Parts: sequence; C-alpha cells; structure tokens
Amino acid sequence: MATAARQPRPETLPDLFSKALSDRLKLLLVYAILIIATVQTIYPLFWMVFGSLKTDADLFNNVWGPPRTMIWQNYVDAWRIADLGARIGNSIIITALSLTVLLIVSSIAAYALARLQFPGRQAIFLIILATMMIPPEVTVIPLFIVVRTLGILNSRFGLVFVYAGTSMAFSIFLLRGFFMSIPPELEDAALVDGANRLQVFWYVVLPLARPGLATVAIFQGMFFWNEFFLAFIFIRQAELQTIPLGLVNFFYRYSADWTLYFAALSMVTIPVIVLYVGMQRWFIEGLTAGAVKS
Amino acid sequence: MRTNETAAGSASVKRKRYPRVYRHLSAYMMMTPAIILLIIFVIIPIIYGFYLSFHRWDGFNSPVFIGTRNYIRLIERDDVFLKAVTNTIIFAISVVLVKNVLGLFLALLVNQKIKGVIFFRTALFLPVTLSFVVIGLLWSWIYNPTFGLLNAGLELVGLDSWIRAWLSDQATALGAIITVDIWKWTGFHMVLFLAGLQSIPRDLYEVAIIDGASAWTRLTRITLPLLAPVTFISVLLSLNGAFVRNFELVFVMTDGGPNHTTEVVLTHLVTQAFRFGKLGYASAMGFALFVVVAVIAFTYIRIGRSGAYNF
Amino acid sequence: MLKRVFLCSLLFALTLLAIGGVAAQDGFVLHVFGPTSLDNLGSMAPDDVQAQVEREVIDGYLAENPDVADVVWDAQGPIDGGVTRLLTAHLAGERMDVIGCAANPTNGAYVRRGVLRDITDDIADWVDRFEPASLDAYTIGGRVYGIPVSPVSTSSFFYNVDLFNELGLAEPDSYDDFIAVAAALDEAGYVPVLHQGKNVWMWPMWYFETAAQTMGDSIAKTVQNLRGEAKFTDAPDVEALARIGQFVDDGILDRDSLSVDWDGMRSAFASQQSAVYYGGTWELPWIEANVIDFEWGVFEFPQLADVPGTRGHGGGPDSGYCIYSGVSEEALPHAVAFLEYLSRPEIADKHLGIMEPLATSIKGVTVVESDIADDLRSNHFPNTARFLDWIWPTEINDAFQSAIQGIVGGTITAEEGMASIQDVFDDLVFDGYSYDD
Repeated sequence: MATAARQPRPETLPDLFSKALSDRLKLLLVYAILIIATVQTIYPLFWMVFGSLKTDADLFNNVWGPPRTMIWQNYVDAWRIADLGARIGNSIIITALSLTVLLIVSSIAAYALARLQFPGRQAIFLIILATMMIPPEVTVIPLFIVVRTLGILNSRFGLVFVYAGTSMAFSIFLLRGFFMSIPPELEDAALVDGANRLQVFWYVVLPLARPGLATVAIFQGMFFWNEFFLAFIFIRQAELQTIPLGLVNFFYRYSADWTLYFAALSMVTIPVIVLYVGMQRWFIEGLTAGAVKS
Repeated sequence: MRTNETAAGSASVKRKRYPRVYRHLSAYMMMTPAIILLIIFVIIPIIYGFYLSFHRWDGFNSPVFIGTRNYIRLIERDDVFLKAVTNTIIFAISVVLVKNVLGLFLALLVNQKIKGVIFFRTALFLPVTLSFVVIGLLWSWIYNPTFGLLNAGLELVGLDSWIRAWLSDQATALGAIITVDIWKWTGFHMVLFLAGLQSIPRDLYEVAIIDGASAWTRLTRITLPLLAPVTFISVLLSLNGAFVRNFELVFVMTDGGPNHTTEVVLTHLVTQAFRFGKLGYASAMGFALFVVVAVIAFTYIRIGRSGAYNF
Repeated sequence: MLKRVFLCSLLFALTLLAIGGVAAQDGFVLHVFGPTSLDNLGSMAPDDVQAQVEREVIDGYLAENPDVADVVWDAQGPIDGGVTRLLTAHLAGERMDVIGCAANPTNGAYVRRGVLRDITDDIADWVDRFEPASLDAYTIGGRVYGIPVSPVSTSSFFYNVDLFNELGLAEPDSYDDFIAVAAALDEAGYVPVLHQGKNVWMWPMWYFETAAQTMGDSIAKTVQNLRGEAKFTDAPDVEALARIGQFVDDGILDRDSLSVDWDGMRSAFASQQSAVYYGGTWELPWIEANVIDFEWGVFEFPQLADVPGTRGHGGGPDSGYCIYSGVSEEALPHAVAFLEYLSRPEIADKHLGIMEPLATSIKGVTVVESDIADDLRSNHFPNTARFLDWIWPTEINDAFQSAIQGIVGGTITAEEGMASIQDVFDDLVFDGYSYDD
C-alpha cells in the first residue's frame, strides 16, 4: 500500500470552485455559514436566559436585549412555584427508566428484524411501521382506558410503560436501519467462533450501533423530558408529576409569569444540553476512533 | 447493493450452524418483549380507536353506534378537513425536502476537521432541546408586526416592501410555521446524517483521490450512495413527523388560524376531540389521515426498496 | 460500558421508584376537583396569599362541620386542558364531589355533557346572595348548574393618556370620534389599536360589543338563533360582524393584530408602539404593575352610528362551583353545605377580597377603591351584558372566532362569515343539538 502513510482526508463539501478559490477562502465561507447558522440557533437560548433575569416590565419594554437588572430571585421563586425539587427527581426517574426499557427491548427486537430470517418477520415489521402512522392524539383516550384497566394509572411505572410502549415502533424502526447498515462480517466471525445470537448482539453489534442508540436516546429522551400531555392525563397525583406539569403553574387565566417561566426553563434545559454534549462526544467520536475499519 | 449481499451472507452462516426450529425460536424470543408492549400500549388502543370511529361519543356518556356516518360526514360535510389535508400535504412536502437537504448540508460542514467543530455540532442541535411553548413565544415575537426581529431585520437591509404580519397574512402564515418546524428539526437530521457520514470508511475516499476523482464526484459517487440507508430513515422520519406529529407546533403558533389558514389535520382533530367532545368523529379523522400517510409512506418504501434499502 | 450504564441507571431508578402510600383518613372527606390550576379560591391573588386564604377558609368550614375530616382540593393543569382533565377523571372513576367550574366551559361543554348536577332546588334557600346577572351565567333553560363565585368583569379600551395629551386628543365617545383619533395616532407614527388577535377567544368580545348595538337585545336574539326561531344570517347579525371589519377598514384596528399574542399586545402598549388596546377589566393588575413610563386610562367602546341599540360590553363572573352529577348520596349534603359556606358574604369577603375586585358575583363583598375603579363602576358596568360565548355552544363560539378572523383579515365577507356559522349550527342540530335540552 503505497498510500498508507498518507493521512486520510475527511470528506468535505464538493470543491466545485477549487480552481478559483483558495482553500483559505473556502474555509472562510464554511465558517461564515456555520456562524450564521449557529447564531440563529444559539441566540434563543441566550434570549431565554436573558428573560429569566429580567423584571416583568423589563421583559415587555426590552424584548430582545440583555437584562437591565439581574433578578436572580426569579430562579428562587421559579424553583418554589413549579416545585422543581420533587419534579426534577420524578422526571429523571421516569426518563431514565423509560429509556432503559425502550432501548433494551427495542434494540433486541430491531436486531432480530434486521438480521434473522423467520416466518412473519415482514408482517411484524409492516405492522410496526403502520402503527407509527396513526396520530397519537387518536389513541390517547383508548390508551387511557387500557392503562386504567391495568390498574397502573397514577404511578411512575404506568407512565414508564406508556412512554416505552408508544415509542417502541419508532425506536425499532430506527435501530433496525442502523443494524442493517453495519457490515455483518464481524458477527459472522463471532458466530463461527461459537457465540450465540444474544452474545453476538450484546458484545459485537451494540457497540457498533452506538450512533443509532444515541440517536434514539437523544430524540426520545428529549421527548420524555419535555412530554406534557401523556404525563398530564396519566399522573394525577402532584407528588409523582414531572417537570412540564409544574411549568403550568406560571400561566394564569389572564397573564403569565414569563420571567419565572424562563428561569425554570433555563434550569431544566441547560442540563439537557450538557448531557447532549457529553453523549455526542461519547457516541459519535467513539465510533470513528473504533470499530468500523472494514 | 452491499447490505443485500451481506444479509444473505450472514443468513447462510446461520443455516450451517443451527437447526431451523431453534433459530426461529430465538428470533421470536427476541421479539416477544417488544411485541407484548406494542400490543398492550399501541395495538389495542388503535383497535379501540377504530371501533370508536363508528360511534358518537363525548367521553362522558355511552358511545352510540352510528355506522360509517363519521366517515361520510368527513368527506361530505367538513370543508375544514379538506383544507387541513391540503395544508398538511404542503407542510409535509416542504419540511421533508428542506430539513433533509439542509441537514445533510450542515452535516457535511461539521464533518470536517476544523476548529470548534464540536461547538458547532452542539449549537446547531440546540433548537431540538427547546420546548414548544418557548419556541411558540419566541417565534411569535420574532414575527410580531410591531416589535418583531424579522421586520426590523428586513428594514435594516432595505427590504421594506417585504415587511408584513407574517402569521396574519394568508399568503405567508403557513410558510412561517413551516420555517419554524424546519428550524427546530434540521439539527436533528444533521446528527442523523453525521452519524451516517462517520460510518463511511475513510479509505474509500483515499482510493478515489488517488484516482483523481473531484470532490463533486466523491460526493455523488461515494457519499450519497453510502448514505442511502440513513437518508431513507431520515426522510421517512421527517415524513412521519410532518403528518402525524405536527400538532404542538401549529397549536402554539396559530392553533390553525387565522380563519383555518394554517389548519392541519391534527389541530382540527384535537379541536373536535377535546373541545367539542366528538371523540368518535376525531377517531375517524385520524384513520382517514392514516390512509393518506400509509399510501405515501409505502409508496416511498417501495421505491426505496428497489434502491438502496431492503426488507 | 454501555451495559454497565444501563444496569446502573435501572437499579438506581428502581430503588427510587417506591410509590408513597396514601394515609387512611377517619371520617368523611370532601373532594373538590379543579379541572385547571386556576380552579381554587382566590386564584388570581399571589400564590402565597392564595394558599393562606384557602387554608383559612377550609379550616373555618372544618371547624363548623366536625363530621368532615378534611377537604381535599385538587386543582391542577393548564387552562385549555380543563375539559380533558375532567373527562379523564370521570373515565377513571375519580372521586369528585364539588367541581370548580369556570363559566365558559360550564356553558359550552359541562352542562351539555351531563357532568353537572342541577342544583336549582339545593340552593333555593340562599340563592338571593348572588347578583342576578351573575347567577344567569350559570343558568341554562331556567335551571341552575352552579354558583358564581368570582370577581365580575366588564370590557374597556385602555389607552396611553400621556400620548393622547401630547397629541391633543380626547377620549373618543362616538365611532366618528374614534376614527379621528386613530387617524391622528397613525399620523404621529403609532399603531392606533393593536389587539391580541392570536388569542382567538378574545375576538368574540368585539362581536358582543357590536351585536349589542346592532341587535338591541343581543342575548334574546342569540337565544332565538339557538332555538332555530331566527338565523345567524339575519340582517342584524350580519351587520354586527360587518361592523368589526369596519374598524379595520377605517384604520382603527390594526389588521396585523391577527398574529399578535397577549404578551405581544401588552408589550407593544407598554413600549409605546401602540396607543390603545381592548380587553376585560382583568387587564388592570397587569397594567398597574407593568406600565411604568406613562399614565394610562380607560374609555368605553364607542357608540356606533345608525344602530338601534346602545352600548353593551361583555362581562360577567369567570368562575364558580358546581356539584358533580355522579356525586354520592352521602357526599351531596356536604357538597351543598360547602357551597353555602363559600357564598356567605363574610367568607366570600376573604377569598374574593384578596383579588381586589371591581365588583363581585356575591353581594356584600368589599371592592377595590380607585379613580379608575370608580370610573369603570359608574360608566362601564351599567352598560355591561352577559358574554354571548357563555350562551353559544363551543362549536358556535369557534365558528365565530374563525369568521371574525376572516373579516379582520379581509378574506371573507360578513355574509359569508355568518353563513359559515349558520352551517355549523345546522350541523349541530343535525347531530341532535337542542338549546332547551
């Protein structure tokens, strides 16, 4: 291999104008686009934090700018009014458990659908796909009746299974796609070495499917964390409720406490962003450094 | 295609090693937990919802069987539904196209080894983490005709004639909401494509460079074909989201107004179900929408199947 | 690593999952169900004051009724989720005795679906404690389904007094005055009237005003329409809708209002970009707290030209208390006793008094004193009529909201708008609607 010493070049945008533009200019263009795109996605976050530190009058008279005074008290009040202490705990428990159940159950099923041949496979997959196309708004009241009949209304377990169950189809679908895009040679080697399917799945396939698992975890985790409607109808006892149900406390019949609402949102959104940063390093970077060198 | 051959390859390995019954047994065991959860929390509610679509039911009194009247009414008497279907289709086509093209474009940009790339990857994903309530307020204020950022910006660059009340104007209201949806989800699709890009073996590009392929050729001959599975998933997810998961955004932005200009099927459905207590009628609407989505999705899958992605 | 994280999080979460048991109570417990977080005593007062007064009032009730061990008051959820929360509570067989029932869903949904008990006879002995107009808001077909326990509102224009003085403008009295004022404001670079048009439920309030003047007696005409004795497409009805469009065409009401939300409207007013806005007297606490840079005032909706009627502003009591139709025999007397207790003037003075009301649904409650309050009480309240959307079924109300948006946006004519409303009504009748049921 004559080129082995050469550093592999990451794939970039097509340099259609490479003849005319120097690399430096191209890089400048890339940065310009990225910076513009970033400003319009990151400013809302600042806007939220600005809002959380304003007085009401400041918010209404100075909509877009930074706060004129720093009202840290907003955070204290928001924490108390939304009862965030208990609710953050509930949200963490419910989100973590739902993701755990969802990821374990759906990844195993998705793997079977992606790799194994068995009678009924196609039919099961089509049914799963079809259930994704029914708007959840239609099934929510019937689902309520099912949950009531099972006697798991008003419990964290109930909501965990509702979340995991209703996200199952999406997750299976997504993971199946990721499993299918993984080259199966490694699995075949492990199978030849005498490992069984579950072992292959656990030790060989799952580590390779990290981007897929991360995508499901991020997408569904965000959904569970922010989910309002299902939590609203399935958890009726205040002590068991999640964050979004507490955020309702800032809205009154004829007004809303936007500054406190922003303070509460800042407190619950920023940890999510930190988590995402951690996860994306772990999953996406981990992958490129690791296994796929077929 | 590659995935095709390898799936067949792995199957042949199994066939040598295990008796047929055992192989199937393990597959069914792997499927069982998922199937149980799906039956209880998804299939039974769907069947029950389908049953309700033939009834008149307000949730408080007993359901009254009325045959197909809900479906007939939907087609013959409900003008808003027809408008909502049109809007939903416009919404779906726009967001599917733009989210994916833009998502791929951004993924290519942040897949480079440049300084601060982690920061950009994170920043571009931020809108996904924001709740709909805050997005609704933010964008209503951006579009606000008196103090909104958008009109101020247009004035600044001398496009005074473009200034309008974006969400009030019949010509722009739906487009304004579509923009917000794209804004919120492009980062998610970027992450999907990024994961896909990262799994493409580097040496393919090396060989191509040695052969003197231009960047454009590398994009169209290597990147896009190898991204096909991810693209397929990304498109199907955005298609699905645009049809059956656009309620919250439209609700916080306009709730279907002004005068049904931005009404989509789901806002109409929720109004019927939860404001008017027509749960049976809303069910019928949901299943009618299902037929539309299923036809589009399965057509897409059939096309995809003949290409890169296979069952 | 993945596996370890999974297992750890699973175990961690599971140990935390213990569900607290509910302590058993001796004696009768009265259950008050609030479909939204606002359905509690003194809901518009600051949270800590509200909680304190609620406790005080309930303790008073418990002291008087030793056979009642406790009152469980469960009021949660967003305003637009009230019907859903009540529906799911009903489906779940949740215990409800008293229901906190806002006037709007009570008239639009609860009564029609049979959720509420007819309490006409239960409250007969003390029904004269209520202002008759307020009680009307809970009376359907001559039967009473709830007691009004609420501050009473009316509607008004709120304006920037400093700006008016600076431009030499007076409060407009007639419609023509208003046109002149709007022209002067527009000339000076201000938006004359910016309305919170994105909040669709606010639009019918304009219709209540115009209908009161084009119909004479808009309540009677509405009831006739709903009984099928007259039509929404009759001339006075069409005229009322057309007059709203007139506000836009004459440059008073900004067409861009359609996409402005509550906070957008208030923000434009507070930052002196718009000069006037329209709303209920529930705006007062917000204005007092947030309009700091200038003096503000109120004036009435103007008298229109060439109409048979006089001014009639929408107003009424927002909330009240009802009894669940599925209430047990054991709970019923306690529920009635609780309503009776809440409506005593000295008790109402506590839980209504903390909201600093302009007027209240219960007689003998202390009201707030100020120049603006006096102005509103002596000029606006005498010209106040019941909100029509407390008579319309929800479907009709929604049809009005859409039609008015269409008129304001200039996309439909008044005839088309009213025809669409009549269509919705015909559909309701087709589905078995009847006003007197």
